[in-house]
Amino acid sequence: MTVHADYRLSQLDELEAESIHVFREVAAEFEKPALMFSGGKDSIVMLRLAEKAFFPAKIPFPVLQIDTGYDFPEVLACRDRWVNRLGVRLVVASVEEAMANGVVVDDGKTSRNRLQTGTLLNAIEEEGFTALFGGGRRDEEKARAKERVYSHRDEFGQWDPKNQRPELWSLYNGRIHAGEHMRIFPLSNWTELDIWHYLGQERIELPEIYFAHRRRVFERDGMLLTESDFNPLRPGETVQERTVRFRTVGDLTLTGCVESEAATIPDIIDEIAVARVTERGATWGDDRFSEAAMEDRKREGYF
Amino acid sequence: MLLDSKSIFEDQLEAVEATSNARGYDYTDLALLTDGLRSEREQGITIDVAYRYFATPSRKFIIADTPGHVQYTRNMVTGASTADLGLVLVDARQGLTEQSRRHAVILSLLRVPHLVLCVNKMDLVDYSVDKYNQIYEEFTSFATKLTIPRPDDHPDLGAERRQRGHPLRQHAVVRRAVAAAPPRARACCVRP
Repeated sequence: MTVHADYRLSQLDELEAESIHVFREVAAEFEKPALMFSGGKDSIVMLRLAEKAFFPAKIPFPVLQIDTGYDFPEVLACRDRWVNRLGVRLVVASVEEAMANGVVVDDGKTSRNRLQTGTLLNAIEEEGFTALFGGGRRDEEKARAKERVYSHRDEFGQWDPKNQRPELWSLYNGRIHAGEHMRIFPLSNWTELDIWHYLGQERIELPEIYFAHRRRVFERDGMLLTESDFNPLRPGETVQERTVRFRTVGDLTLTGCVESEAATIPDIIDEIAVARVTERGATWGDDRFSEAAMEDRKREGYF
Repeated sequence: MLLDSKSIFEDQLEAVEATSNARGYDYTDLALLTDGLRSEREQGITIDVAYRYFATPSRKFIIADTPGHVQYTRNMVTGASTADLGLVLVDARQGLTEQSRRHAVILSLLRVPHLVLCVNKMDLVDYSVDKYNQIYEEFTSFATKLTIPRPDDHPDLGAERRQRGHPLRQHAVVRRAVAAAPPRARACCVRP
């Protein structure tokens, strides 16, 4: 009796195939794509998928990073190792430079995370990018749950969530007018757990801050923030050393960490499988202001 | 389904409860979980597809929660195109509407291989057996005109019929979905 091999893909393989298809579609269809890289686990998974999509050729588009000036040094080091290994062009747009040039205005109240929007849109215009890959996932947040894989941005970089294009099967409509661009989300259907399983399966290198380590932290609005010169203590806040790890990375003044002993990817998977709070809920300062905070930022042109 | 499979995180549920309270509801409006856009929350309707994720021990599910309103049918098509299973929800008070039929036809046009008709809000018709049977008969005769690749394969519908008069329990829907679907399944759920 012959045993037939099971040709069905595992769900990780299926997700990978879907994302690789998106990468190739965009590279074939758009004049000037770029990959938005934050240094977080999602953008690292994107880099890995882009590498696979075009291997053995090099990734045919540059990597764009918005430097808030408040980035974790571990994240920047990890970014440089990736960029060197893959030999891709790195474009860095700095929020501080944008402020110096008057592109964005720091009124002292707006967080660096929000100032990134103006900096990003300016960089897109200067470089003439027509398609930008983002690591957004639909399971992250309720406004993201609504977004298409190809998400249209008008000439001002704005998203119009009430008027999204039809997107049937794996047919993507990449038509844009001059000055407009498309945001592409190849990881749309991945969940946080899928990302970790994939990182484990592919043995992908991550910034150290994702794993449990000792860090001097203080508590603000129910979040544990890292001690740093950029983030002066307010009255009543005290610094303690605890064993923590980050579930997301971003602006150091806003990204909270969680107390955890998880030092390896399997430990983290066990931890997430029983987690009762979303990664953003646990660790993002900027989403807490209003119930449509993310939608508003996305309308303005945020990632 | 999301709530029963414990896929709602505490902070998401708290946010929904807070919004429900702020609007003066005396219940938690679970529709707010998928109606993520500002205008959807203001008008209390679904405009575009929302994707949600949950897993049972054997499978991962992607739910595309799609709008039922006629003017947003094009968004329903987007959600339905990638589905392995379509769930059409029918309000027991209103019975089978033009939109329910339209959605069933679209699902069959897109060759979605499985279709489940969910009769919802049975509590509001006092779990009326007649009402349920009427919708069931009406849809069965209508469905003969559709090309659903496996039209005879409705094991659970039979089971549900045997215990008719009882509200369609939500995990029965999950069981049916588990039975029908490949390892990673996408379901398209159309709410009236």
